[in-house]
Amino acid sequence: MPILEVKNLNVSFKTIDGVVQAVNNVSFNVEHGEVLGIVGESGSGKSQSVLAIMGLLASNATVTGSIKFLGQELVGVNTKALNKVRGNKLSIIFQDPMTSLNPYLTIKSQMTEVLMLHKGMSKHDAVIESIRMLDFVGIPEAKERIGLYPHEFSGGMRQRVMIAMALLCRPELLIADEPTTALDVTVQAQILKILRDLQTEFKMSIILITHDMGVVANACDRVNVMYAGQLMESGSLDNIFYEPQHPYTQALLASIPSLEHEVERLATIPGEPPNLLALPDGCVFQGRCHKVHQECKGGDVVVQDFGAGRFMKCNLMQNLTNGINQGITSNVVVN
Amino acid sequence: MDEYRQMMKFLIRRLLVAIPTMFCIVLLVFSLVHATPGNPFQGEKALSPEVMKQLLHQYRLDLPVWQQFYLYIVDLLHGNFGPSYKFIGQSINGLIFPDYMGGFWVTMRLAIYAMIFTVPLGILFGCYAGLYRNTWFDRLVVMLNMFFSAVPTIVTGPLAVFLFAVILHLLPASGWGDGDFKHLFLPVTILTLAYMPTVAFVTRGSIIDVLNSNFIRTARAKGLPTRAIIFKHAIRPTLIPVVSLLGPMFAGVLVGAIVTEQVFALPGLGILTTNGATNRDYNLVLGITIFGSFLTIAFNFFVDILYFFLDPKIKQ
Repeated sequence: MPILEVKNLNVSFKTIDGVVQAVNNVSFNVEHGEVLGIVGESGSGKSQSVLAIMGLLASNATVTGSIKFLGQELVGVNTKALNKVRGNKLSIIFQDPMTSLNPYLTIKSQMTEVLMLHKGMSKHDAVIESIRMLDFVGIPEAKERIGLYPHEFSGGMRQRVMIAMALLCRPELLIADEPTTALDVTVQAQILKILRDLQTEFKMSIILITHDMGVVANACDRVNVMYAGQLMESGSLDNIFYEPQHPYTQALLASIPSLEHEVERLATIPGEPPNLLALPDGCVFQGRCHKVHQECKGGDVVVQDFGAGRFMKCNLMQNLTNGINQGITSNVVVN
Repeated sequence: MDEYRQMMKFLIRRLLVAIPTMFCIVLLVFSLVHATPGNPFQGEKALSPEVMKQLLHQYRLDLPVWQQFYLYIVDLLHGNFGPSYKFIGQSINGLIFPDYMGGFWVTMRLAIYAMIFTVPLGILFGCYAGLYRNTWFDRLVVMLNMFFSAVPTIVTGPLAVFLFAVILHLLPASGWGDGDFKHLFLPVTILTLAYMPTVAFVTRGSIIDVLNSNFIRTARAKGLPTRAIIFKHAIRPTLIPVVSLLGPMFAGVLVGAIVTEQVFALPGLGILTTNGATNRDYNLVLGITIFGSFLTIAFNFFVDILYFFLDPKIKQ
């Protein structure tokens, strides 16, 4: 059974200008022990879909659909029930380590409260366990430093603290929402290594959100590609990197700068994402797609299921016959 | 021990800044008062030149201004605000801090009573309004703040007197009485209404900001109950802007309940200030202004100390 089952998730925000459809009918699973990458440009709904899982959306948000974590429905439950899960079996680390820790409380106080709340530990035991976890994520002299305030740590160190804090209760699923975006490249590599080490050590699942293809290639088992709030393509790392089917995925990969060839200009996807206040009829990518044709401009977009958890949302019929994807079920589902 | 040393260093630094500030204020106020045309004894009744000369000499007003300033500073450093020019034979110290119930003692009682209601109620209402944003209570807090910011005590005071004293005969219209509940109820209420909505409004804005911050999202992600999020994570950052508002506000009420004291005829500093200003009692105006500035600096200093405990970043 998958650890997390997301079905037909919709997230919309009521604003003065109208209803913003941030996440549109998204379904995916996270299996035990796997690292799922979610990629997409800014505003594609990556963060909003995981914030919906954590129950951390802004107060003007409406969520429909189903999110089942370890068999328990998370959509529409009250805060009290949610609080039993989050921070405990389900954890998140955020993009901005500089502001995600409370500047007015010591690291000790912010870490121990998690263990005292979820595990019922005494203050004394919680401090010992917190120090152990800080050691684990590579904070030197954790025993002395646990008494410090966040501003006394560097950005990379703060992200380590965030990771340690998220892992205190040994979660089944860790959501990492662009954990390395705010950090410089060498620190990025260190943080990713820590995440990978921890994943093997604790045998947990990870959802890794990023817009850095390098990070995906390094860390993920499976990849979801999102665009304008919709899941465009999903498949294993090799599927997505070596035989992308969706024109958007192809364009995304083509825009990765190559070290081998020198080019005048970097490849880009012309145009800009659609306005989430007024999505077009038909495919959301129609405006920028170089393979766009008449059926893309209205009606439902076909979801093509290639089996083995691989699917894409595109009207362009793909016939995968090169043998890598056996069991093509031409199982066409109309969304 | 280390923390104690840091704190002493911090406080000494603040004190060293306060001294030149105080000196500049004294210099400025002294110059302004002495730049007014004429002298304190040119009243409606013309005095003979001999008497005038004698008076000016007696009060050192015939010396060059810089000498007067020097002597005034020397007096100040001895805690002496000098003699009054109008209340013959009385010192300014005696007027501000009299042996009877008056002057600063009246204003202080008034200010303390007003703040006892203003601070806790303002913070409570502000937090509540911020937590339950866009409810009727929140809108009421915002509306009251706008109303009492727009309508000054010079309007609310007489209106309250008119309603409760003249029409309903419930409370005395004015006077200190013996500082009893009936006499103080209206002035304290008017002062509270003047200041509390501001405290509530600042608290409201502050808690809304704090609750939207990333670290509160982290606290929620950890599964903490709302109670713990508010009291452990949100309350300290919420109070920081409120505290910085309260220091000058309290100092302001202590010196400047001028309008309220006039409306309710309370014998406090406010009345003394108006008397001093209309009678050209240089030393009285100087004394009260300098005392007020001193209080403002002292309260800001006190706020700095509070900051030291509220915000760990200041310790560096």
